[in-house]
Amino acid sequence: MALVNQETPVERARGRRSARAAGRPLGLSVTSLILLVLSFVSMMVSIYMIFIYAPTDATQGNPQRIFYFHMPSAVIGLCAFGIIALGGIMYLWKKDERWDWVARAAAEVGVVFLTFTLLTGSIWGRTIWGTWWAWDARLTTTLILWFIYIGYIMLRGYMGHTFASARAGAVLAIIGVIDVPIVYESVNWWRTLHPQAVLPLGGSPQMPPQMLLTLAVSSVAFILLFSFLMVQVYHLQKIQTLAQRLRASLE
Amino acid sequence: MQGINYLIAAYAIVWAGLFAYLAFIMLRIRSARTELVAVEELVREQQEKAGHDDYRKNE
Repeated sequence: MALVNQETPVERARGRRSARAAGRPLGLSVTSLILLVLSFVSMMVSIYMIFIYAPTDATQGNPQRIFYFHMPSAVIGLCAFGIIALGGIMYLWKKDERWDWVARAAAEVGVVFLTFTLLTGSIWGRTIWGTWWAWDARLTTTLILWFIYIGYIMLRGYMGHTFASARAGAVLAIIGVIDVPIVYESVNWWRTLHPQAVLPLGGSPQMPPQMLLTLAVSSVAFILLFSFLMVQVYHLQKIQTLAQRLRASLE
Repeated sequence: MQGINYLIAAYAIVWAGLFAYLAFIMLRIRSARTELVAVEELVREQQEKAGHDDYRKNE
């Protein structure tokens, strides 16, 4: 009978956790809460600008508005892989596992944004080119980057939170990041269906000011959202690593 | 009109995906936190038990 009233460690942990989290909305840290509010507000402003403020494109019509989500998510998808490689290099150099957590978080969030890029690009392509997919240089190199992301995540998931996993991940990221400049330059190096960059590096923008402003606001919203998600996944990596270490100490 | 449908589909996919991913992360964080506190508790119990056994041996 006494056993019925006895709490297991998991039940006790649940009770304590809920008591601690009760003090904060959603159980988030102050930084996370600020990022969440900022990304929500900027996303609402960007939606208003995309559908109301930005003019309709004369040749493509309404589907051109997909561009305001497509391009920021593509830029974040590319930059996130740069963060993974940077995290890998810093981990190999400093041997500080926090860099590995940064790399893992960037991989997980980056692949989500790159998936959005491929999906929104495919829908946009259907309206403009009349096909869901074409094996042109920009699309193919982006798909290769997506597979590199998946390979990285699978490798890290399979090897767990170990030092060997961090080293292997760092090496894969350093090799894989070579694809990022290839994706960016693919529209210049090969003849592609995909349009040229609307914001060429060192050049003037190829769009009207209202569209440019909408793109800027949308990009800020996506960067804030990416930062919020990065902080959450970084925190998750930290908790998982600590739990795994403690579990290993018990065995 | 066809174009509007594609536009709505694109935004719906992104929003649904973002909310699903956010929910997935929050659930994983909650489960990882619970696991960490439970493992900490087990470690503490083991240490207390080891300390108690040492005390009895010394007695």
